[in-house]
Amino acid sequence: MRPYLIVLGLLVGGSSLHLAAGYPAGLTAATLLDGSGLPGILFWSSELPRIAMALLVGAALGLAGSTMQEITRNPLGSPSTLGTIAGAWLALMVATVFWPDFAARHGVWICLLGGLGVTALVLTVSGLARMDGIVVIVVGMATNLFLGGAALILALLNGDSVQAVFVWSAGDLTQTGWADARWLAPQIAAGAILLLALARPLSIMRLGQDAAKARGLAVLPLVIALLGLAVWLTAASIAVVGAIGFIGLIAPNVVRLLGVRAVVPSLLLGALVGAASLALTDAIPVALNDWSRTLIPSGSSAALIGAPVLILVAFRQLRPESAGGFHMAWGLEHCPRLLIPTLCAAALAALALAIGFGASPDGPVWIGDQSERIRGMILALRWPSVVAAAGAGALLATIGVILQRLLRNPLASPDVLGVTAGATFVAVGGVVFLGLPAAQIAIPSAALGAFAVLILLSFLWQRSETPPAILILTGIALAALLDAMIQFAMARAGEEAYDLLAWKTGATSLASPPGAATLCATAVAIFGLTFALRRWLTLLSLGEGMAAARGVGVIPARRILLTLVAAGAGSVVAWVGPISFIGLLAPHAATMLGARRVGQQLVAATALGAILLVAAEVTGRFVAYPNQLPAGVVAALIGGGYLFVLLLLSLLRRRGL
Amino acid sequence: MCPLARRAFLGSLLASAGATAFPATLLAGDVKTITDSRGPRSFSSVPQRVVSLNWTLTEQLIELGLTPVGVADPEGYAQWVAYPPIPKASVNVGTRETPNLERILGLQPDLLLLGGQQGNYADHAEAVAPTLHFELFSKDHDNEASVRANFLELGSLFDLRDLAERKLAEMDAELARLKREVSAAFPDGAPKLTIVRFIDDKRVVISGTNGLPEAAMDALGLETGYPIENSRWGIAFKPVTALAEIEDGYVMHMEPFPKGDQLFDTALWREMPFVKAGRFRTLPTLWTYGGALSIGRIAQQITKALLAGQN
Repeated sequence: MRPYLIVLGLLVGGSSLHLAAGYPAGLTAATLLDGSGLPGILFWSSELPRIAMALLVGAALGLAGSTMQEITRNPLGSPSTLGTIAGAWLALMVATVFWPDFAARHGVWICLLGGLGVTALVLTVSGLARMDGIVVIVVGMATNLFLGGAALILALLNGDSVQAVFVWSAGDLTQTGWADARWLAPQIAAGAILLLALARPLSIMRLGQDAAKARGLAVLPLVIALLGLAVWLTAASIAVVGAIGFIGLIAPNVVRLLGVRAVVPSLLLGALVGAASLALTDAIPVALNDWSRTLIPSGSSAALIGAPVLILVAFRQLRPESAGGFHMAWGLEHCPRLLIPTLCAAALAALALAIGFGASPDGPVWIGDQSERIRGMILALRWPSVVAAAGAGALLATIGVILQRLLRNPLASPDVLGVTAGATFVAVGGVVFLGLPAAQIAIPSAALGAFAVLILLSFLWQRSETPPAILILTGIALAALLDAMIQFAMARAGEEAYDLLAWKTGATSLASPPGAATLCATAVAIFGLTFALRRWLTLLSLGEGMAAARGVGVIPARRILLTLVAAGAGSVVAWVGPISFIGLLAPHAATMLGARRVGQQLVAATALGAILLVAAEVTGRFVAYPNQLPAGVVAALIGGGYLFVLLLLSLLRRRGL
Repeated sequence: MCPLARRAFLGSLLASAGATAFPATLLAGDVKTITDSRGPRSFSSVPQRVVSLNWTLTEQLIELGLTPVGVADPEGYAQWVAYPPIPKASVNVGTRETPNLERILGLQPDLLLLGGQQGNYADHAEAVAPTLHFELFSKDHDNEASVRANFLELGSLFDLRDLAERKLAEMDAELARLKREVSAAFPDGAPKLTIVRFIDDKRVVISGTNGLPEAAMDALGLETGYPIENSRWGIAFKPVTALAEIEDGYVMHMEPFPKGDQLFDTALWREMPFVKAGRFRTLPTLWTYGGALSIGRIAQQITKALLAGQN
């Protein structure tokens, strides 16, 4: 009974807080009761339906999240981490751009299709047998980044009002009547009832899929049906209020904290906790509406509350082994003799080709074929963008190797750990809250932000015997938290945020010669220092005990290496904007090619990082000519696609295909 | 001597000295100094091949009768700015955020025009052609004065100063005429007015302090019904419920608003003070971050809407 009472308390508390925040000025007891007059109407037709929507959407997402966690046995499974929300959102955006009338009428079906497709893909690719591990979450996150990049390109190329897209993608619960709630309630009720009716056999599945099969349970059809219903609940909510994440992640974890174990009660409580959490978090934007010149999306505030909860969960619940054991790196066992020279030559060739070939209305043009008059000018334009791309790519790859070795996890990278988000947040905050000019403060503030995040992470690391895997989860949550704070800051800034949005896409094509040169010099310096310190990395990646036994001062060595990471991540964010994926991908690709010793991996990854971002820069020139796509966005697409293919290949390999 | 008078003086002096000896564009007196956001800059001849990367500047150029050789995002311009249309001869040079500098180079421009958010690459763009960057909209200056001054400045640069002055004078005369119409229609004092653009049926952008709609309203003698803290573009992005705070005067929204029915059918909307009073109007597509002459266009549409079925 106790958990139900607590959840009931949360529900009443959340709704009352929301009511208090949104109580219309000038509403008296008399006008409240007869519902006439503007304050009365505002109360009955805006504030009350908004609470109803918060409860409905929260319940839908909470139930969807609980179901997904029950099926995957993964405390991090949720519509946001399994790609459901990103898939539904991108599908809706594509439809809106190409078939606006159809999208306006059938948004929910488009969301359902996109959400189902992407969720199914994420689960299949990571392997139905190991949904409980972190692999599936990585695949989901990679997919999110990939789809997010695609959505950003769509928005950039279609001249959408960026602010509207941004608010919608963060989810907003503003209501003007009961129409939405009346539409959503039966959809969610039907989905929820069906889901709860079907859920009982899940308790058998907890014994393991084999045990369930042995008892005659048709595992696959059941899983498909339940997942379908969970995606339906998510899609119906998204189609009406936009992409609100995190609720589906918080709710099941709160239920677990309450000590509820049985399947049906925990699903039911998941729905109720979801409802209460969204009502609670949505009270914040309602209360702040007057303070902010720009509406604050409900989804941002959900993330603001949700991320710390996720961090707590990561520390309290996730056993190290459930997060570890992630070894994506199959591939060559030994480094082919010619690998390093080949990669270095390839990097130089990529630089030369990128500087040599340009786009024109008639396709690619070689620089030698240009008239002599403009040849010099073209070079003057092209080298900074190519060198900036190469420098940023190399830098991200180098610090990616440091982080992956230090944390002994192939997932550690500056974007996953929130280092990039930290850099972005401090830079955005400086512009928005202190009114500092973006151009002058970008560099110091980005470095400051990166340092702050790394100091926080290493503090957490020092205090407890935190396994690296949990540190990574903390980083993921921190990244989400900082993203939400960036959205808050940008909401406060209103139109001034446009400047920051352009910068946020990681455009190397407009890099200035001094910027490109500085970035490249930083890359060389940090690579050199890291290479010189590679013995530390080798020993630390074998374990702290091993390193200490060999005479490495673990704590100072960590500090120095993390300082290099912060300086590198800060420089990239400051000069070309936040660029994701390269830091994750290049070190991994290097390992796969056989560069398994630290020194080899460093050189190979740095070369690969440069090649990748230069390739992104060049691709950006051609695909949407005359539009130039920002390299950061293209890199997210290339990187996401690469990771995806890689995981697919490893799945096929496992199956012996 | 004020700069304008000095320029005229020098011009006449030199013109009388040797007007017949040199083609007009080579006259020493034609050296023009244009001050952009980074400082003064001299032009010894009238730029012939101009690329504009900013919609407001594109609009100003077209209003001066010029055809830029290249413009950024002409499709977006056609959708959002609409008038005046971009001449067909102008080439698309990519997005405004990351324009295609190499394509611009291929057009062999002798002038690049950059606006607001593009200042961060203005120095770099000099590698392509002489570049002027104008900070047209800012919370630190009067945006109306800024776009007007810019229109005149561009007029001087292209030897079209007279045309620019004449067009502004025509617009001011038109504004004065419209103001008289409004005051004649509202003898007890002009009503307050709030101009909005709906993002969808639940979210709205409200025009406020320091925006061009406010400039048009000032010229017509209308006061705002929803005061907003000053900002660069002079707008606020709000839930539609915020419109309930508008206690008196008219509210006008700018097309397009495809989801209009979903909002206008609600009890909440019908209870809004300006709806109850029959003071809600529709304006056609208007670009509110436009050039100097867009103030006149906005004022014309406001007046038309105000006088249509007033009460």
